[in-house]
Amino acid sequence: MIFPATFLLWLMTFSCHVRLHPHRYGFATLAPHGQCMALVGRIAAPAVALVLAARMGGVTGVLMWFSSLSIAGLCIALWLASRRH
Amino acid sequence: MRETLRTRMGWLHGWAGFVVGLLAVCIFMTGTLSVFDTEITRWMQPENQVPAYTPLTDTALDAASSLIHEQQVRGVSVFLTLPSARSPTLDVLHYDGRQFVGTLLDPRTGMPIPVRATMGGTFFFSFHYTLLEGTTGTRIVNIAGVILLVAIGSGIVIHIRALVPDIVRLRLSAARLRGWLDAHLLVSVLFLPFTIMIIYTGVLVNAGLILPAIPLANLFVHEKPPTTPASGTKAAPGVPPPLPPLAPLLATARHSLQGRDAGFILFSPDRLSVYASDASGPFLTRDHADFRLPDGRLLGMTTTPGRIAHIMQVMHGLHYARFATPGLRWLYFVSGLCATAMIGSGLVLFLMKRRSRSGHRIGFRVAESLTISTLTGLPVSALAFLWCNRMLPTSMAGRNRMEIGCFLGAWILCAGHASLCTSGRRMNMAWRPQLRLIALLGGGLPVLDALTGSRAVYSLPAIHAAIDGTGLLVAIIVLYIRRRLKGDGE
Repeated sequence: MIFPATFLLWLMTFSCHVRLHPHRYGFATLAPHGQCMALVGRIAAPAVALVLAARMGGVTGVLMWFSSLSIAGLCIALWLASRRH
Repeated sequence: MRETLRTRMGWLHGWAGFVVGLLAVCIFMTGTLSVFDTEITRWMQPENQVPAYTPLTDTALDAASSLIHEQQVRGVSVFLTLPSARSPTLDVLHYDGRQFVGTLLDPRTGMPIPVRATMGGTFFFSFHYTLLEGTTGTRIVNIAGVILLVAIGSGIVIHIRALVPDIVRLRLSAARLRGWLDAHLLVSVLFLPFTIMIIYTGVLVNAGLILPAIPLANLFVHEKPPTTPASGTKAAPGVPPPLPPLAPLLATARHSLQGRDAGFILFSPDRLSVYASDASGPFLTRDHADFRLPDGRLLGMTTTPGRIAHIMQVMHGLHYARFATPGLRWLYFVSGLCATAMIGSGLVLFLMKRRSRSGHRIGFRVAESLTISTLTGLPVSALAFLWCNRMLPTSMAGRNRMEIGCFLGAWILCAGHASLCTSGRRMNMAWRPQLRLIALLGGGLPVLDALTGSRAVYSLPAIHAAIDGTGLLVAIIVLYIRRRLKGDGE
C-alpha cells in the first residue's frame, strides 16, 4: 500500500508543479492564493511521501521514493501530452 | 560562434553518448532482463513445476548430500543452492567453464527433476556484464559505464536551467525532432536517480578490473617468483568422507547468521560453509558459518567488518537487487526499460540532427545501421532466444549452445538487413520490418507458451503471465511506434 500512496503524493506534487508553470504547460494562471497552495503542495507532498517510504526501511524506502517519482512524472507527462494532442 | 561551456558539453554529450550508447543499450537491455533472470529460467524450463514456498524436507537434504558425495567421489567440485522464494528447488551445481549446470532436486522428495538443458535467464545476466567476452568484456563494460557517467554529467550541464521547470514536458505534437528531444529529456531527467545509481554501483562492483587496488608499498617490492610446494607435501587426494546430516547444520548456521536464511553451501575437503542468502537484506554479504568435516562441528563465523566493507556490500546489494520484493523488482525493471529508452532516444536524436548535413556519407550510414541493429536487432534476438528454447527438441544434445547460436544468428541477420536497407534518406525502410518482427515474436509468445508448456502455465501462472504479458505489451508498443513511423520521415 505504500507504493500507491507515494505514487499519488508524487502525482499531486507534479500537478502542483504544472500549475506553478502555467504558460509552459498551457494552463490558465492561478490566483495568488492558488499559487501559494500549489507551492505548499509541491514542497509538502514529497516530504510526506518520503516519510511514508522510509517506513519500508532505509534502502528500500529511498528506492521506492525515487521510483514513484519517476513513474508518477512519466504518467503526468503522458497525460499532458495526450491532452495537448 | 563563441564557444561556451554548454556548446562544448553538447559536443562531448553527443559523441561520448553515441559511441558508448550503442554498447550501453545492449548492457541496459540485458541488465533489465536480468532483473527477472531466475523467472526467465523457470519459464525456459517448463518441466520444473515446483511451486514457490514449497517446504524443504530432511529427505530432500539427505538426497542432496548423497548426490554431492557421489559427485565429489568422481572429482567434481559441486555446491548446493538452497530453495528460496524465487527458486524453490534444491540445486546441486558445478561450473562447466561457461555456466553453472547440475541437477535440480524436488525440495519435498529429493527426487531429481528432469529439465531441458538451457542457458536460461543467466544468459542475459552474463551478457550484461561480460558481453560474452569474459574478463575483457567486463573491463569494456566498466569503461563504458565510466564514459556513460561523463555523458550524463555533460547532459546535466547542458540542460541544467530547464531541468526542474521542464521536468514533465513532452510535446509529441510538435516537430519530430522536438518530440524526440522532449522524450529523451523526459526519461533522462525523471529516471536520473536510478540511472546514476545503477551505473555508479555497476562500475564499483567490478572497479578492481580497471583500477586495481595495489597498496603503494607493493609498487616498490620486487615480485617474488611463485613457490612450488615440495613434492610429497600436498596431501594425496583420497575418497572424501560422507557428509553429515545437513538439516541440523542449517539450523545452527541460521542461528549463527543472526536469523538470516541460508543461501548456498560450499564444500571443501575438510569443511563445509553455509553462506547467508543474498535475499536476506540490501547488504549483499558473503558472511558464512563454517563446519568441520566429517563430524559437522561448528568452527566459527566469517564476516567482513568495517565501514568500507559495509558500503561495498550495500553497493552490491543495490546493483544486484537480490533483496528486492517482487514489487520493487518490477520498479527496477520499468526503470531499466526507461533508462534503455533514454539511451535509445539519444542515439536516434544524434542521427536525426546530422541527417541533413551528413546523410550521404558512408560513416553516417554505418552509424545508422548500427543504431537500428542495436535498438531493434537486440530485442528480436532476445525474443528469438526464447522461441528457440521452446522450438528445439528437449533431448537435443548441445541445445543450450544452439540457443546462443540462435540469439547471435538473429542479431547478425538484423544487422545485415539494417545495413542493406539503410540509405541516407530512407531510415524507416529498415526500422519498419524489424519492428514488425518484434511485434510478431513478442505477440506470439503467449501462443507459443500455451502450445508448448500448457501444464507449466497452469502450475505457475504468475511467472508465465508476467513473461507472456510482457511479450504482448512489447508487441503493442512496437506496433504503435511503427504506426507513428508512417512514410519515410526525415
